[in-house]
Amino acid sequence: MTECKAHAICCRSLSKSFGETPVLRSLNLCVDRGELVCLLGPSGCGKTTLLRCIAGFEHPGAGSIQIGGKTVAGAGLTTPAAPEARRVGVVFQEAALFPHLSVLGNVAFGLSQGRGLLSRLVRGPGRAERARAREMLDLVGLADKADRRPGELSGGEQQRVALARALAPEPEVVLLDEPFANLDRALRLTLRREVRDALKACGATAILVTHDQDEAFTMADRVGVMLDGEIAQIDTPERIYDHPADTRVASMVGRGALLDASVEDGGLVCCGLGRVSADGIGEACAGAGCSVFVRPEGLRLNPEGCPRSVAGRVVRVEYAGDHRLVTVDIGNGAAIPVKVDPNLRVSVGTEVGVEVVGPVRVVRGVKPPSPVTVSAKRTADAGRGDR
Amino acid sequence: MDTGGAAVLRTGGSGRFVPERVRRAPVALVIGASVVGVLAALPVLYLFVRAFEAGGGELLETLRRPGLLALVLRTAALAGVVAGASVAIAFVLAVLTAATDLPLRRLSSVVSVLPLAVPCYVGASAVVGLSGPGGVFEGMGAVHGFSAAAIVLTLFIFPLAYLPLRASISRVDPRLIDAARSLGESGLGATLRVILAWSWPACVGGGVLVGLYTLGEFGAVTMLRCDTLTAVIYEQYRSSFSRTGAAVSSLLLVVLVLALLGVGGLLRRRGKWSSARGSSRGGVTLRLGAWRWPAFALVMLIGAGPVLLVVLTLLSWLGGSGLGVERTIGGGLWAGAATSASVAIAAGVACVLMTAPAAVLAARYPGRVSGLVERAVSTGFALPGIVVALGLAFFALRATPFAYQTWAMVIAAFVVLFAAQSLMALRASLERSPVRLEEAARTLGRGPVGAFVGVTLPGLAPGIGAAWVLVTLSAMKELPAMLLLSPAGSVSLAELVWSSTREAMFASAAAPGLALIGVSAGLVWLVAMREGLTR
Repeated sequence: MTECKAHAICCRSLSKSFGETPVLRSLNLCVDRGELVCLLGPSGCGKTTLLRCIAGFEHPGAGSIQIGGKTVAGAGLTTPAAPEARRVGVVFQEAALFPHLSVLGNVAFGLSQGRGLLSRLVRGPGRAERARAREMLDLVGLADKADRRPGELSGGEQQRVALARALAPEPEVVLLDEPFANLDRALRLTLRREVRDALKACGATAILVTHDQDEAFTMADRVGVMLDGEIAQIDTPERIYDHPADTRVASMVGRGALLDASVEDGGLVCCGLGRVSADGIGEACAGAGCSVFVRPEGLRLNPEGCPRSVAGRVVRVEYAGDHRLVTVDIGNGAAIPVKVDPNLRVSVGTEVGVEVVGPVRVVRGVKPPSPVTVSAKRTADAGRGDR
Repeated sequence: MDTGGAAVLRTGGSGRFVPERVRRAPVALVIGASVVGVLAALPVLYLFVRAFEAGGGELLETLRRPGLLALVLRTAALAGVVAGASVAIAFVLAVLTAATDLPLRRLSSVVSVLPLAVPCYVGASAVVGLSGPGGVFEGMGAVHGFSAAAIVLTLFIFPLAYLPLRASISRVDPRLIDAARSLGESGLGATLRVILAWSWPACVGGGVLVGLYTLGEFGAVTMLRCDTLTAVIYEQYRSSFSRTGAAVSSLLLVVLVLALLGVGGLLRRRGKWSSARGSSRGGVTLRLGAWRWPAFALVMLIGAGPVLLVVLTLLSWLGGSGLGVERTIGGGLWAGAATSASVAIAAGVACVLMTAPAAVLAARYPGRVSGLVERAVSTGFALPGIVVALGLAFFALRATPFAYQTWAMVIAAFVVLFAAQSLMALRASLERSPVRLEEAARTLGRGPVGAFVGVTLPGLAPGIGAAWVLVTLSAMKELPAMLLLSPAGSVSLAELVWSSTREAMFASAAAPGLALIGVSAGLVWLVAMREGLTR
């Protein structure tokens, strides 16, 4: 096992099962110092279990974990290091503040480890500890609430205190487990920004787990898409969106249509939307089957019968303020989402044409899991039938 | 006035219909509820009258009696020591049984309340016998005095503190422990810094409960010759010369009760926090590792050890005494059992009937009257049995001499002492039965009483049953009120144990002692069921 000094966290071939159910499958994840990685995945994909393994609340069945270059689990270690020996800060979904301590007392909780147990139990935080706790409360903008009880704070304030508490002992890494899930939307938006700023101000390494794509994309340096106990793709948000590694990632991130296609010569593919040029064909030979993915903003709505467009009928119109999302049935009940100008009035039942204007990408994997892709598959079948 | 049960509907600000919460209670209900409230307040009020009517001179003289201060201090110290030790033991057992991977957790939980199955005076009787001539501990010298009383009381009543502590600790959010561990706290540190702090109000509450019990304890302390105020009150009253002295001593005991409640309030304030919402997911599970079985052995030793010791001792007396089984079990025992059972059953019925109006008032029309009644009733619960008995005796001697030393007096004392248990059980079961059902019955044409009898009452049967059993079992065990108030010539099981032990006739204490352990075991089983220890 090679030492991994360069990374703040290094998980190698991590596996974990609960009874017969595998939750993590030989997962690899490395996070650089000072980096903020968001793990994005549906519920039950194992992302919380991964965090709990890193924190030491659960022990992996196989594989190893290094934190700050020190092995804490696996790799010849007979017993995994205890949570308190790992220098890991955790922010939970429900803030989990100590109800019997003041806000300041909560933030100072982890700062008294230098003292004996009796002293920690009986005496409050010392002067230096209080100063450090105040500094952290300043950072999250709650200096004026230091003497409040957690029960007197709003949900967003509680999460900020939880973050200050986790950051105070200068941990090697901070783990955030869906920290905004219990908050309302408006609060989530501001808190995302504040939490990212606070983490960056401390230069902290952090892993944030979420099922909210916006959250992952707006906060992360890198996004890891987690599916079925594995990290399907880990990359910058832009790369994840534009270059999904496979059909599962493509259907998980953002909206779009996934179509079966066949490769043709000259960088072209043939799919339900016609013969279009596609990225990522690579070495595939002409005639080979593949899947292509197209985003709503890569499509244009034309009047019926327009050249270079495929005929279809509008089945749904969703207004979203800055755009309208029109779902077009291009045959056999297959639905393609198209993003249009919000001022364009389209009504359900209108016959229209759909034209490909943006990039179409070939993605790996042929068995897409989500309903979107099921309908897209039918689209492709119908398209082939037409031609 | 509106005597109806249907909620008045009005349009709220949101435009939705909301039920009017505040309704006026029927007059009959208020009167019915007040009866038990007045009865509960009577003993203390009358003690005041009795103590002060003698005039300031006699009062001062009584207070200046030599040794009184030492007696008060000893009583307070005993309550403090027993409460502190009980909370310490209870905390350890509650953490082990509610927040670790202890083996056989259900068994361990039940064993942790098992000592309640031995009334303290029965336990004390066994200890006195064991250390006396012919006993197992004979060579160790007589076991009595302050430390003996403290140890015996602690071993048999710490479950009073265990129950609230376990309930509190099983609600600790496991995330709090995770958070503490991730902040660098060890398992032991997290237990103390998070669980102890979280359950602090329960520690104080449990300690106060144990302290109140110790202040009122009479049988065990007199057997172990650690005289506290209760013993002196009894002697003063029995000697007939110093009835004022008995009243004054009783008031001193009431002062100690108030002081204990005050200290409890102060200590609890330190741990006060708002929104102490419990965890909805499963509780904390600390891993004991290699300590799992030693910890299990510790729980068994503390919980089952003393109980087994007492039961085996009593059994050996029963079997191997020179007196012979026939004489031991004969006459006195059956008469005692009949007395205890009939009085206790009657007390249970009286308690349920008398607290029913108060329970309905508290559950359906909460307000100032119901609050006052509840406070009066819980005062009765906090008072030592001997104080209640004395207050009622004074009252009867003055106001209703025909009732003095009749069973009515005994039952009245039991109502004052145990009404709180019955009221809580009835109220809880009433609150579980939704008002909406009654309202539905009203819309279907039933009157208010018809709706209550037809819809709510059938659902109350388990609550009524629980209230009755609780009071009956408690009354069976009761000693000092029985000693003071029962008609001449009658002897209950509890009195049998007490008098036999006092006269060192241990063999004749064995059978009634075992019978009382049986009764108490029923009580423990009920409590364990209600607290969910058996699930």
